[in-house]
Amino acid sequence: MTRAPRTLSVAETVPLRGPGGERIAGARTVAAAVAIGSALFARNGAAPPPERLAYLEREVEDFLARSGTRARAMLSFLIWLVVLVAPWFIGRLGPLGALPQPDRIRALEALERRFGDPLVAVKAILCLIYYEHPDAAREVGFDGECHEPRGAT
Amino acid sequence: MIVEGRSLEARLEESADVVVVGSGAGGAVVAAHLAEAGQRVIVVEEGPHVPQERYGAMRPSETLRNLWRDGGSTVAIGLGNTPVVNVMMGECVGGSSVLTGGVCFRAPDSVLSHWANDLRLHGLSESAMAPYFEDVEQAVHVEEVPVALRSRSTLAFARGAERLGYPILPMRRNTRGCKGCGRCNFGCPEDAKLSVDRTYLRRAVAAGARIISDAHVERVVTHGARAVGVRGRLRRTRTTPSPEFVIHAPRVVLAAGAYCTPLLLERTGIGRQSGQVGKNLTLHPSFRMMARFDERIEGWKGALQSAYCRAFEHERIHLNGLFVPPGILAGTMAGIGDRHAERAALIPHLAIFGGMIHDEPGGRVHGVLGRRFITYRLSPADDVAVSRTLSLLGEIFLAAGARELYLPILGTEPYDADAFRSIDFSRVPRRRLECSSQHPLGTARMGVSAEHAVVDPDGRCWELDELYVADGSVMPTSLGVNPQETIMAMATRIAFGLRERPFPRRATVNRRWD
Repeated sequence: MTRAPRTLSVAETVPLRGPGGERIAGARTVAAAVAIGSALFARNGAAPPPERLAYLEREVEDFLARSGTRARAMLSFLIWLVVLVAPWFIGRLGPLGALPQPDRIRALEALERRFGDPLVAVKAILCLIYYEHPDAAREVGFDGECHEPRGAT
Repeated sequence: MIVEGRSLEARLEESADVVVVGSGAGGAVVAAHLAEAGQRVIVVEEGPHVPQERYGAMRPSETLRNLWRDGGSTVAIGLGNTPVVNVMMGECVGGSSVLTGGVCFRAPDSVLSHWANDLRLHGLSESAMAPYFEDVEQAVHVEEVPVALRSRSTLAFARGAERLGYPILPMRRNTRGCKGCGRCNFGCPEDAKLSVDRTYLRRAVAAGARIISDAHVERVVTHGARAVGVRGRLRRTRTTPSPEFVIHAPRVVLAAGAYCTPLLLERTGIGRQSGQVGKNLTLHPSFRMMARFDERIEGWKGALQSAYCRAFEHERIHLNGLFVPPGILAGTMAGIGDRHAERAALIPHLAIFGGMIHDEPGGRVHGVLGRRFITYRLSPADDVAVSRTLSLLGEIFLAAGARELYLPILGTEPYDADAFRSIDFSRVPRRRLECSSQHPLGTARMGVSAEHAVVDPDGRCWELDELYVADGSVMPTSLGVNPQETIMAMATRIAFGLRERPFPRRATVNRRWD
C-alpha cells in the first residue's frame, strides 16, 4: 500500500443549539468537562493552549447536544461526579475547576487509582475529541490517513 | 424516496401494504425484496438519514454523536460477577450496518445444525440456509480481505499466532474497493463498504419503497388479533410536542433490533404466552488487548478487520482483528497529565486484537415506564472463556515480540511478560474488565412452540397475526461470529416467505402508490 499522507484539519464546529438559540448542553457541565480536560491533557504541569481548550469546549457542547437525552444525562452525571468527588481524594473540597492546576492533576490521579470507574467514560470521550484536533493528533504521531473531514459536520 | 421526518411540520398519515420498522440489516433486506415483488412498502427508521457523503466525511467523534445510539454510551448492567458491557448500536438509516467493520460470516455449521436438529427448526439447516446466504453475499459483494490490506497491528498478531501454531484466516467483508482507512466503525469514507444503505435500501427505493427517517414507533396498532399498522412520533430537535404519525398496513415487520424490538412487542401485548420477550439476550461479550512493540505499528493504516482465528471455537472463543481511533486508545490507558502524554505517545507502537465469547443467553432487555435498559449475567462457562480469552490474547502478542501488554482491566498499569504470566485471570473481578458488544441477539427468539418462542419458524409472531420480526432478535441462540450476514440471510428467508403469503382477506392492498 502506498498512499500520500493526508493533512488533518478540523472545521470549526458550531455546537447544536435549540430553535431559539438556547443551549442544549448546560454551560456549567461543559465547563466542568473542560476543567477535567485541562488537567488530563496538561504538559509539564501546564494546561493545553487556550485555543485547544476552546476547541474542546465547542466539541464537548456539540457532543452532549447531539448524543440524545439519555446519553447527555449519563455523561453529565459522570462529569459532575468526577469534578465533585476527585478533590476529596487529596483532601480538598469544592469542584475540580476551583483548584490550582497541579492539584487538579493530583486529584484526578488519585481518583483514577482508587475509584476510576466514573472517569473511564469521561476520559474516553474527552480523549476521542481532543486527539481529533490536528495538533494534538500530530503530537502522538497520528497522521490521520482517511480521518480528515471533508466539509460536512 | 426518503422522507426526513424531522423536516415535517404536521401529522403524517400514510398507508402501505407492508410497514417495516427499522432500516438496518434485517429491515432493509425485507423492504427490498417485498418492494421488488410489487408490494407497497414503507420503512420507518428512528434515526436520521445521513448520506454516505456526509458520514464518510465525519470525524469518529462526530459519527458517534450523530449515528450511534446514545452517542455510543448504551450499557448492559452486569449482574453478579459480570462486567458492565458497552453495547454499541447504530441509529440511522442503514442501522448498525453503516457502522460495522463489514465482517460477513455465515452462521457456523455447528450452530445451524443445533438449530435444525436440537431445536427442530428444520428450515434453518445448513443446506436450507445456503441459498439465502448466497443471495446476501451476492447482494452486498462479500469478498476476502487481501493480505496486502492487513495493518501492521494485525500482522504482528498473526506472527505471534503462527509461532504458536494457531492459523490466522482472512476475513470476508461486504466491500468493493477498500483502501484500508481503518475506520469502518465510523462510516466508510471511501464508499467502499456496501452497507445496506448502499445496497438493499437503494434497491427498495428504486422499486418504489418509501423510507421515513426520524420516526420513532411507539406501538403496533392492532385490530382484533391482527396487526394493522404502527403509530409513533416524528423526532424533532427540542420541539414539543413532536408530530404524530400513523402508518396503516395489513402487515407489519419489526426489524428494530434486539434492543428495541422487544419493547415494541411488549407494548403490543406480545409475550404473555411465552414469557420470552426481551429474554435470552446474547451479546458476544468482547475484550480487546493492546500490546506495545519496539517498532512503529501505526495500526490505523490498513483494513480495520482483516483476519481472524478460529482455533478456539471449541472453547467458544473467536479472535478477531480490529483497531480503534487513537483517541480512544489514549483514553483507555491509565494516566493524567504528563503520564497520560507519555502513554499517548506510544500509540503508534500499539497493536490490538480482540476476543469474542460465543455466549449463553444471560441477558435481558427490560421495559420500565416506556424506557429500555439491559441487564446481563455471564454464565459460569462464559466466565471461564473470558479468562481463557485474555490469556490467549496476551500469550499470542508476547510470542510476536510485544514488550508490554495493556490489559482490559480498568486502571491497571501495563504488564511485562512475567507480570502477565503471574495473573490468575479467574480471580480478576469481572467488574474491573472493560467489555463491549456490537452483537445483541435473541430477545424475540424463533422456535417451534408458542410456549418457548416469540416467533414461529417463518418469523411470524405466535401471538398476533400479520406481525413479523426480521432482525437479530429472532436468533434462536448466539452465533459465535459476527452476525450481520446471518441477520440478512434470515431476513431474506422471511421476506421470501412473505412474498408468497397472501394478505388477509379484508386488507386493502393496492399495487401502486396513490
